Amino acid sequence: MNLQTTFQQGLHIPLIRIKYEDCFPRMRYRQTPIPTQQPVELIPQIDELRSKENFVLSREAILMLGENGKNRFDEFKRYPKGWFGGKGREISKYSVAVFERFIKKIPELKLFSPSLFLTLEGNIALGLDDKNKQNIEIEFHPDKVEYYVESLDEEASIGLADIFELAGKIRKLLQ
Amino acid sequence: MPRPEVSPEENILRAIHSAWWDVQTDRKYSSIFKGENISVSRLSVLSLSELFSIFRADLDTSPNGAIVGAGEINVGRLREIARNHTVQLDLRVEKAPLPENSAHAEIPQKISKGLANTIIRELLFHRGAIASI
Repeated sequence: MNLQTTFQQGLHIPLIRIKYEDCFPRMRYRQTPIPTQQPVELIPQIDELRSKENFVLSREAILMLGENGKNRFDEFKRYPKGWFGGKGREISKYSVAVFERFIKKIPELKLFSPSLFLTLEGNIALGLDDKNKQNIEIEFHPDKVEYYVESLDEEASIGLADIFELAGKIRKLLQ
Repeated sequence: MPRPEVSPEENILRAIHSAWWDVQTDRKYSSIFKGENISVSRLSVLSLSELFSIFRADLDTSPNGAIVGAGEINVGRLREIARNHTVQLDLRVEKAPLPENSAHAEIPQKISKGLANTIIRELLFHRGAIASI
């Protein structure tokens, strides 16, 4: 801190001169690209996945997918932009973040040995059979979750704020 | 100018990427047929083994993953499935030959997850370039 004292003649009152920037240091911001449609609550998870070195599945995800699913995920990570004749996009880290958030709400998915897939849009997806051996598909977009339930003949997408509701719907089909 | 349609008597083949067929669990994903402008190939123009050679050359190069098989369906049956689906769709399979694949055709309409799953259940699957499942 740069101090300069000034004595006013006769009063012996020291005046301390302080530079503005010593009181208000320049703010530094992380240059974190955040997609405009991404809810703020997901940002910590997205930051964790941002760097290639941190692009790994959580322990819960690995337990749910098993060795086969983990191997498939590791393979999907290697696909470059343009896989499948120029049409495929690289795996989306934001999709993985949404996937991680979803499976934490419905850990019993593990009992149904879901398979992991990758779409041309770069989204990861789960496919599994419900208790009646009918198909359920859940695709994790960066800003929504798209699902198909064969037993209900239902196909829809929901916003990230409604993930809990979707988890409840899927849970009922598995019980 | 509209492209000529493939006859309903013909059978077509769709290449299946490893990202959409978990071979270990034998589970398939709707991406096999979901979306628009789906590329297929006509078995009346090229044989199964010739088409697999083309698929492998165009779509199956490391690290892009692998073509683990193909699904075959009759065009007439495909159109019938789409017409009878919950949301009816008038599917057309249009001839769209390419320099690298003279048997190439396209389905321009947008196929939903649900319809794709129904189509997949009717496919005859071929693993690799040899045996069918």
